[in-house]
Amino acid sequence: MSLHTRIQLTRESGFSLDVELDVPLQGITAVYGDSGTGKTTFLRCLAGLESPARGSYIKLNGVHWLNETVTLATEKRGVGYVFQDARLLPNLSVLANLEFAETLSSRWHSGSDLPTSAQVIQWLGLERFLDQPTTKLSGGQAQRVAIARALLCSHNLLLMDEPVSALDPTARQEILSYLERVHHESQVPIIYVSHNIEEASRLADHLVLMAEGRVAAQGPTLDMCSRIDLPLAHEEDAAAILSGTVTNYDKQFCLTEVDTGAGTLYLARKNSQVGSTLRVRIPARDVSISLREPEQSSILNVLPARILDVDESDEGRVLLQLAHGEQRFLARVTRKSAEELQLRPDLEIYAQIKSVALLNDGHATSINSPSEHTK
Amino acid sequence: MNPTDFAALWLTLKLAMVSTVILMILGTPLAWWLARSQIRYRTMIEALIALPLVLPPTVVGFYLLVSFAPQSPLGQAWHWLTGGPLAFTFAALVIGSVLYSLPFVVQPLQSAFMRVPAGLLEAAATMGATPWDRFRSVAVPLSRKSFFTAGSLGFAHTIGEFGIVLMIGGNIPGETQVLSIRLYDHVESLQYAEAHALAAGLLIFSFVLLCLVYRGSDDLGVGARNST
Repeated sequence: MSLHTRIQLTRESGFSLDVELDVPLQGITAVYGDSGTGKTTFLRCLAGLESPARGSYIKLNGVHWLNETVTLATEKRGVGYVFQDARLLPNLSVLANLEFAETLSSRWHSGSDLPTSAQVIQWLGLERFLDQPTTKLSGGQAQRVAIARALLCSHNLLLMDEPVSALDPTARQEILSYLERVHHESQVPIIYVSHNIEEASRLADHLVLMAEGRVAAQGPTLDMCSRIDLPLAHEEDAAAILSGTVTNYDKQFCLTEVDTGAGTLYLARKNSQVGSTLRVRIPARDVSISLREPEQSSILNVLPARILDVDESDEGRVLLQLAHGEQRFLARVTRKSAEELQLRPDLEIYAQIKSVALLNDGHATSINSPSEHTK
Repeated sequence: MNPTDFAALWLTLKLAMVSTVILMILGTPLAWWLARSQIRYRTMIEALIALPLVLPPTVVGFYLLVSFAPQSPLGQAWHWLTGGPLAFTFAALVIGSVLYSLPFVVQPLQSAFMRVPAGLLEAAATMGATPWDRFRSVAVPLSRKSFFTAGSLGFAHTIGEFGIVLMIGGNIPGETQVLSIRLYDHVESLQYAEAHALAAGLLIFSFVLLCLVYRGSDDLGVGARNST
């Protein structure tokens, strides 16, 4: 699976888009950037809903969708598309909407291993309201139907344009959990557009950063979040993502032990299944540095680490890139502390992590060290 | 009602039915095109279609009569095709009615098609719907009530027309004498009882039909409710 594309487009308003992208397309590829950077336009061009300028091309798995001589019509591209709004047919029931999509798309692409409607109904938990008219659904329910419908049409690719941005926080978390399930169950590559980095880093395997109509950087999500040469790490709530495996669950303290490959993180959680993999988010501002191993601290999570890089571009604060085994994460400390501790590349330090947030299981609650509550 | 009245009634119904069928066949694609395409001369075409709403029917009738004349290109083409003249025939009435009632069919359809959310059509395209599928399976079901409105208005308006018929059809019983003209004849010859029967019949028919149309457009159906 691979996508080679270049989308060029200039609007009368002066906005210009020039996205050149070669991505492997495995699992979820998130396209992240501020509003107005052209993410949606890029996605619409991929689907053929908008026509980019001459010189643009799209090639998916060796098939030309768009070049100087070929323009494949939207209906023949075999892409599922989830819009910000659900766009269900108001005159049909939930089930009829799914059947409508299945019938239409099966005419173009037979034999591809799409999920069946029974499968997508189960993945998205639609059993209860199959017979309901779509006008009766809540925003979150409607979006679940829209995702199911898109899955039934995603012969080649599933495109999602900020599918949770129009929803309230509860519905948003719910949909994200469903999307994780889809990610786990479905084979189809997904391109997911978002301006929310928490969302993007929670779901994506591959991250594409966009700024002002261009691709600023791209790479595996975990690497991208901890690169201090990218604007991502300089955002106020910048955070690194670590992945790990649950090795133990302590019932007495409701504490989950996560092996990150080089050390253990503790998360306060109601329940965890030993052996499951998860992603945790470590905000740069919640990591402090100690030169010696801290003793008698309320902070449970202390990882030995090595300073890889120091960024002093901000006036009062210093951003550090830390290496802990194979994994990278970030710390933000004041310039005063950085000078007093003489923080510099290659220094071995202890990173005290005040909060670790679990990203992927639908309850991305921020968790402080349990003993902190007694302070 | 005497046999001539019944002949006029039958002719009127036949004219209205034939005209409505042709109006729907012509008006639907025209309305879809006007609602969906980005064409430069759209307002000019819309104004042209709407002209019969404001012009005296005699003006339309006069120009039609001129263009139906045996020496005119249209008259000659008709003669070549059918071997007969066009003016003062049923066919002439149908052509006149179609032109005259076109706005009554095109306008409700066009506004219904414009209310079909573009986003739904896009979504359908990503699902594999061709432009024809999008029209047939998305736009038409969402505009169902407007098809009823358009058809009823076209039908009722054709039944009620007078000026154009008189100009291009004349008053030939069984061929071009429609109800409104028959009514005029009755009044001319002071047969008020017969005139009452026809007038009241037309009045009640039109009133009932319009009630149905307005009830239909009160809840314009899913298409209207979902427009933004």
